[in-house]
Amino acid sequence: MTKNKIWLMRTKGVGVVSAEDAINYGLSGPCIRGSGVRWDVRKSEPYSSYDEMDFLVPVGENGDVYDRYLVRLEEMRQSNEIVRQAMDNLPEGEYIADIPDIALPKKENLKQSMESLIHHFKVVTGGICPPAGEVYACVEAPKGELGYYIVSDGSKNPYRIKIRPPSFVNLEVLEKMVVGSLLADVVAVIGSLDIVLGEIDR
Amino acid sequence: MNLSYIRIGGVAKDLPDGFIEKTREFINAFMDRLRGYETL
Repeated sequence: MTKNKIWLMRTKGVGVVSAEDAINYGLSGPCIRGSGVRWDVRKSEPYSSYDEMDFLVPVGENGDVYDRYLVRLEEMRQSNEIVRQAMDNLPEGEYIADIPDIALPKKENLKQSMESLIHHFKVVTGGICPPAGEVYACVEAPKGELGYYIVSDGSKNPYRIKIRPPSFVNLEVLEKMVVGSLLADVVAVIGSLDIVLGEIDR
Repeated sequence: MNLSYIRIGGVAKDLPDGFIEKTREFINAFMDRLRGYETL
């Protein structure tokens, strides 16, 4: 496919978005990297163990359907290497933190230990009470930056919560990409934006 | 791996037996398959 003439004709120069527009529209994930902007939350604000992983962030040049396709293919290779490194360096130890106010007890203890049952009941019914304040946390999801902005008043329920789904933001650029081009290209462009409608129904 | 596996503070269960071996098998096979997709 990568060198197929028909594929190239239908994807090269189709649905172009410049690096500047990609930034201004707030694109993220392969959609912004296809335009040559090296933006990846795993590198800019590493979470989990991404700072210990050795991987590259591929970018395109032209910001068209074809470059977004190439970026995704290379990301599959990079992800494969990340999984390989994770397997090689998998540490021994517990699979859940021992923080009674926040983390649930282990399931295998529930049927044998009264204390575990009470612990489980308290976390599930009482909820987690974070300190009052606000926080934004995001991860590099397959489709781009997935973020949660939460305002807490100190109770178990968030005072406000705002989800930043990558597809919702990435789809905004569709008009810019397709106006004036062939109707048949729209299918390829939407495919290259790789949206999930559940994220767009807001 | 679905949503109920990931917990605040960790995960719901330890990895099942054979997980690492099977994952390694997949990692090694995947590169060849990817070449296959590219030359479809």
